[in-house]
Amino acid sequence: MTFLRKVLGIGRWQYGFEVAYRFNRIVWASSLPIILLATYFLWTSIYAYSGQTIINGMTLNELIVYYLAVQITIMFSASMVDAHIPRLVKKGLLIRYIVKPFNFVLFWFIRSVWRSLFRTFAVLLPLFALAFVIIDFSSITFNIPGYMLSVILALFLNFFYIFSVAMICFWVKEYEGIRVIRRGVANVFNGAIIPLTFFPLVFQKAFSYLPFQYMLYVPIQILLGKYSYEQSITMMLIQLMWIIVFALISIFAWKKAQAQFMGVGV
Amino acid sequence: MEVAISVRGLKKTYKTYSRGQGVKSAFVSLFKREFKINEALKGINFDIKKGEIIGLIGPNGAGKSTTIKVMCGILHPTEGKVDALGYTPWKQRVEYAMNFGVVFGQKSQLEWDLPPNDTYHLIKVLYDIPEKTFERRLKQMVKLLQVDEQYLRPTRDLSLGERMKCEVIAALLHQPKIVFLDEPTIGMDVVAKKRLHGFIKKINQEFGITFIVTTHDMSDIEKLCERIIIINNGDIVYDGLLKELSKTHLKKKLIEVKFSEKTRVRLPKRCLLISRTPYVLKFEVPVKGDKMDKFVADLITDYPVVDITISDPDIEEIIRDIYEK
Repeated sequence: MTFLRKVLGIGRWQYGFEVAYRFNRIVWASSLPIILLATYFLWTSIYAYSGQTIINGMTLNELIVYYLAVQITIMFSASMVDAHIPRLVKKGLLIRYIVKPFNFVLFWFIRSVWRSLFRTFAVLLPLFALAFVIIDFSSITFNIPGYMLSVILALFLNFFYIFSVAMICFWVKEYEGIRVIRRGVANVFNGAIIPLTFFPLVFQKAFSYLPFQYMLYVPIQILLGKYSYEQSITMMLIQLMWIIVFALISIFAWKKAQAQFMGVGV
Repeated sequence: MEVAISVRGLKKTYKTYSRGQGVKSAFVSLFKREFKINEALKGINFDIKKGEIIGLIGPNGAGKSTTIKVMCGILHPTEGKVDALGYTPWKQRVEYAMNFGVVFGQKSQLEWDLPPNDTYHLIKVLYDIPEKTFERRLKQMVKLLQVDEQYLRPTRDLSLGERMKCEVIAALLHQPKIVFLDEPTIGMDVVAKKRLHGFIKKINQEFGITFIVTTHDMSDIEKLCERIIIINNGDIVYDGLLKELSKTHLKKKLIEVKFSEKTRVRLPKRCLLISRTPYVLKFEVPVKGDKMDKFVADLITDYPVVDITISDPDIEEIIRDIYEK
């Protein structure tokens, strides 16, 4: 009961951040449909130019649904820990969280989940308003329960992966460069820029041994019904395995990082 | 009296990197960096009793903030033991955190974009404070510190003094057993300072909360602390009562003499002239043992003295002498 009170309390607190700069938030939320619309025009002309209705196993309609799903899945499962923690470490402000009587990793996880929920909720309406105009949803059979399960796993996986990488900031002091690379690598390997089926087979094979596609591509493939029931279960088990790996790294790295922290400028 | 914090053989060494100026040294530093090992604390020992208000003072870079950070569990020491209410701060961080509060004047505990009230509500749930107790304490404290409107405004809109008051509330809401105050009166006007001093004394007496105060403002120390610890270059140079400090470290007295007619006095070499007019002479005289310098006695008998004032240098000066040693 007290744990639930804490989770809700952290949510209330995080909500304060979400509404602190309202105008900024509205501008940001309205940028997503614009990106989706641009993607729609780009791919419409590519399909028209190629004269094909199916490219790499995907119709134009499926591809636009794919990009819509990318936006929503990133919104829900991505984490901001490596934007926040390194900045707090550099400025010595992390002490705020270190002196609080709460598990540090858990605190940031709960905060991250609340942030995802608030932001997903904020973009759903503008995104779907556009999506209903440009997408024909009736031609696709969605596996929504499978997606829900897999996207929750992706949320855990993203958090622990990003948290693990973010711990580097305790050693290097300036983390921004690593963050840019971390995001760039993830966006290529997780299918955010183009679906992984567009890559040569060798690459696709290689990607399956890396954790990235399980953070975004896999939940979307499950949603679009690209996997059989058995394949979906296997994919989720692999997601779970990666979660365990990165959760262990996170806990271990945080232990080591604490001893590194200097609390500068106090 | 029971001990709240006991510190034994505490050492902390830092590695700091340095490079010279110019493109060449910047390039060289990419491959080979020069570093220095700094000893911030050189094995210090002290005890703090429950219910004490203790002043931890020292010049910049003396090691006082490092000491506080180790006692809060923020820094891991290189060597040594700290027992704070039975916990080792850096090992039992979460359990220990329930029992202390901290204000860092230079590092806000409050979120810049949120009103302090939002942070207070987070504190309420993290520290398991019952709703009613929380409301009562908050109401009482915002009233006592006169921030009953400000705590609802975003922190970024508060003045430094207002923010500091809100920081103090954040550190005390869960009624901790120990409170660390690092430069708590920074940015406060004299009225606000006085109010905060009174507030700290009040809750110290009412609830027996132990306070550890570090500050450069001697009025904080004089108003709040009976006992002080002076740290310099990573070592404790004084640990005792504030009033004893002048006894043990007082090396001079200030003498002000008024004459009934124009007088010119020749000061012996051991005395230091501060100011001189035909009717008033101010000087410092060294103190040796319990006896007043013979020159002062001679002065009264040999010159037309109408008034003489003998005083101690103020505490700030005594401390400055200790720092400079």
